[in-house]
Amino acid sequence: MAGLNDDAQWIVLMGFLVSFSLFFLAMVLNQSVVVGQTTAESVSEFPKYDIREIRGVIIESYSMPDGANVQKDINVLSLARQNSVVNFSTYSVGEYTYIQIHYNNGVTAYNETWRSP
Amino acid sequence: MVDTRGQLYTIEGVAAALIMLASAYLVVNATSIYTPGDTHISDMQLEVLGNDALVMMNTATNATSESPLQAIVETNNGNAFGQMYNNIVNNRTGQDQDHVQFMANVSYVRPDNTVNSTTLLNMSRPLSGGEHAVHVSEWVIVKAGDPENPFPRNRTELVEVYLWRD
Amino acid sequence: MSDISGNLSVDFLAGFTIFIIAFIWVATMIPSLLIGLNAYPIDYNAVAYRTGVILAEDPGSAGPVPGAPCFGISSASGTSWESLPDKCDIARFGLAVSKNTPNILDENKVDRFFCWTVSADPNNRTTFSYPTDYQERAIFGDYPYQFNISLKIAGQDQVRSVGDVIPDGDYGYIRRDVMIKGSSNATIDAAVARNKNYGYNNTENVTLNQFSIELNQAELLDGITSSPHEIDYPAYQIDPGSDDIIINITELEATRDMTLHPNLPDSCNLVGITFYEQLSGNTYLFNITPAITEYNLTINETYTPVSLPAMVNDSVSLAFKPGAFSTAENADPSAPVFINLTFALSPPQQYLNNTLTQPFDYNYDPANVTQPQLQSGVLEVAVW
Repeated sequence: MAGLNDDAQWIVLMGFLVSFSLFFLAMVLNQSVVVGQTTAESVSEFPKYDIREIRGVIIESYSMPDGANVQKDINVLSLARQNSVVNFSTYSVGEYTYIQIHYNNGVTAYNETWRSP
Repeated sequence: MVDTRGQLYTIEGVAAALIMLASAYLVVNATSIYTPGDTHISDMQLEVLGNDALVMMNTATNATSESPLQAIVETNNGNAFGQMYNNIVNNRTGQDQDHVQFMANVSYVRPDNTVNSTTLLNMSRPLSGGEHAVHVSEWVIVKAGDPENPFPRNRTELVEVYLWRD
Repeated sequence: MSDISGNLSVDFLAGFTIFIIAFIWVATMIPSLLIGLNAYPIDYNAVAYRTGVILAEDPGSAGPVPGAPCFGISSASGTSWESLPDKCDIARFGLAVSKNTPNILDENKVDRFFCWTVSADPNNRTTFSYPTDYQERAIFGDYPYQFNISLKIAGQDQVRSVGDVIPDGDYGYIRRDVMIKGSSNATIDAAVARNKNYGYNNTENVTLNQFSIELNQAELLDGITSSPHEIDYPAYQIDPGSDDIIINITELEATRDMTLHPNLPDSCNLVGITFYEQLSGNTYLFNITPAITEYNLTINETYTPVSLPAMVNDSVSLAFKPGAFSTAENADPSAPVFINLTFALSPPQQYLNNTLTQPFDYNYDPANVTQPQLQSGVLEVAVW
């Protein structure tokens, strides 16, 4: 449109640019506070101790004389208190005993075949 | 005659207002405050500590004896558990002690309907619900009876502890 | 034309508004593009946690180190890094006894880990220097993190630590509860000698009295085979390859026959320590060559470099370093090893002697050997 005085548009545009760059830097600094959140959450979410403990108790139960009771307890307790499904079985080949262990807590699944030393 | 001169002013004002509102909203929305607890780093540290303490209590000091946790669960000795766990969890390399509170349960399987139930072991302070607690657990193989059937047999029990900081 | 300076045209305003709103929305997504940038100082807690896991749950690894001054030159392997004198053979620190025993630390690895200085002497390849050696082997990462690792063992006043003083500000931190496996030892005193008839069934007066101790390595490595500790038996195992073997022989005076020889002997010397092993398929014993030297001999509670014959009053003590029995050429890691001590007395008389009975068996019997005990401790890692 002829006659419009648009000298100020450059100033306005430069003003916008400066403010947007400041705004962008503020965003970056703000997001830096939450770094480390997903690292800590993934550590807590992986059931390292649960798997280690259950594996230890299952292997121990196969060397006890009264192991069947213990194994029934493991199945019931892990489902009721830890929300995880545990399946295990044993077989022998030669002089070695093998135990197959399956663990699944809905997020993480773990499978192992343990061989006696 | 209606003058259209003011419409330009109005539209310009409205547009400027929209721009300012939009940017102000985005800026304010982005700068939500994250407390250190939202990152769950302290939760992770507390979980590691609680699990380590339970593992230590469930390790016998030599090959022929049973672990302290097994003895505590078999005799249902809540006071001994409270003292020992308190010492282990709050022990630091420096002189001052930490202030971690806890509450412990034991779960076992009942013989008839195979539904389990819990008995309270001990707590250092009641868990009221305002605390942000983490949950750790430990499997223990014991030879014990239960209230329904007191004859001791080999069984597995689950020791569960809630930990929080004051 | 009326003077409307300062106004903008409508279509410019509309287009500009839409453009700016879209630009602001896209600009808020840009921080996710910068995830690839390494924000070094931010994740101290994650580094501390990782270091805590490496130290408390990993047995460590011997192997080549890529950086200067080692440049990847090493032929070592395995997890027994604590006995390697050259630090260029140690790829990663780890204090656990084995992979299957997390949170149970080995005493020798702890001792070696906390042997450090600040100044880096390029000729000294045994002592670790803070911070570079630890950063390459435990902390990892490109950023030069400063750290402090402390270990307090119950029953000991001294807190062992590596690193700087912890600052007042922000730092990453993790605390692990651990147990430290001690070493076993055998004490042969007058009561044991009497129980097992060491020297009391000799009817002759002999010049040389031989006392033999048996270390059945296969039996020791088999470990505890009875429940309930079958799975984690490395925590309670006596392993001559990685543990100290300490034998204390005390109250030697009481093994003499006081009625026949009421006076003290003119001379009572330990004249020799010899080592034999029984290789599989053979009934006789082989001399171990080259001779075993990795042990400390303490006579009458004074440490002496091995120079026999030495006069013995009341006590002899042998402390074998880890791996002492595996350096021989024909060493069989599962063969029984016999340690023979030869005593010479003048006038000839009875003394500590089991040539007519059985060798003293260094095994898992608590009546013979004080078993390794687990001691509790606290490990703290701070990174900043």
